[in-house]
Amino acid sequence: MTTACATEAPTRYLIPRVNVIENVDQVLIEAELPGVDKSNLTLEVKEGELTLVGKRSNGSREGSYVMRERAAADYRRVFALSNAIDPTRVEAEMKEGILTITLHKTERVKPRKIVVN
Amino acid sequence: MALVRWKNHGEMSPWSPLRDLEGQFNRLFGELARDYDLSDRGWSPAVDLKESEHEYTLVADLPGMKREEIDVTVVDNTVTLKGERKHETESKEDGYHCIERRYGSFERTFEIPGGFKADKISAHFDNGVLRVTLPKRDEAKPKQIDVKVN
Repeated sequence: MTTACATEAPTRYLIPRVNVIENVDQVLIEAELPGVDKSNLTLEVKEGELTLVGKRSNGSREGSYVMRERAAADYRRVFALSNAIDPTRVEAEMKEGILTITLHKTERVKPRKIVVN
Repeated sequence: MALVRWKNHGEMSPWSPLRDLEGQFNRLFGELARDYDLSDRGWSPAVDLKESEHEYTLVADLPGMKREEIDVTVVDNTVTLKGERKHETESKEDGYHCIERRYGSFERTFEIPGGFKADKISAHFDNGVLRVTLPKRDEAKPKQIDVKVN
């Protein structure tokens, strides 16, 4: 209803895994961004789209790889926001490599109880 | 699993294009199995193993895990990473639009060529990335020996 898990074609970016959860008045996006520090993260809301870019710090360049599975690329993902989301109220929190974005629904779509007289 | 030295592209040998292809296939299917959970063993973190002159460094992506949920054990020349990732929030009223994150337990064991000093290991967990530093044993370090030529 509110947030499509839209993804742009990746060019040298990794697409982070996300969970998108909706409750009565919010939509939460949890994104896995291991190795991304808070200071290397940008979130932008523009023209109905939320863009997330996270730069990964790859540690020391010293030494050679014996085994390599972790991709040396940054993260990027774009989410389409429906008009049920208030674009002016976006909150984000980073913890142990998980970014949680809280999107608030507009008053218009929130359920309201009507008292019958 | 067996550890194979990471190869850089551009190695010159008549067989290198084939070996390269083999490596890419193995990596592709390894990644697919990891990403799509074909192995039915829950999830498995991506890990790098780096070697420098004095130490080995094991780096694992463990986003969303807590320090106390990660278990690092060493036996002989092997290091085992173990842990369980649980759902942080679970509520019946919430509706999921998509669930791509994986939960459950994992266990991976790595053999470190030449071993390490077990009493000098240190581990750090930062931004969801675990870094285990394994100092090399003195006999595994490169040594310079002067050979007299008469």
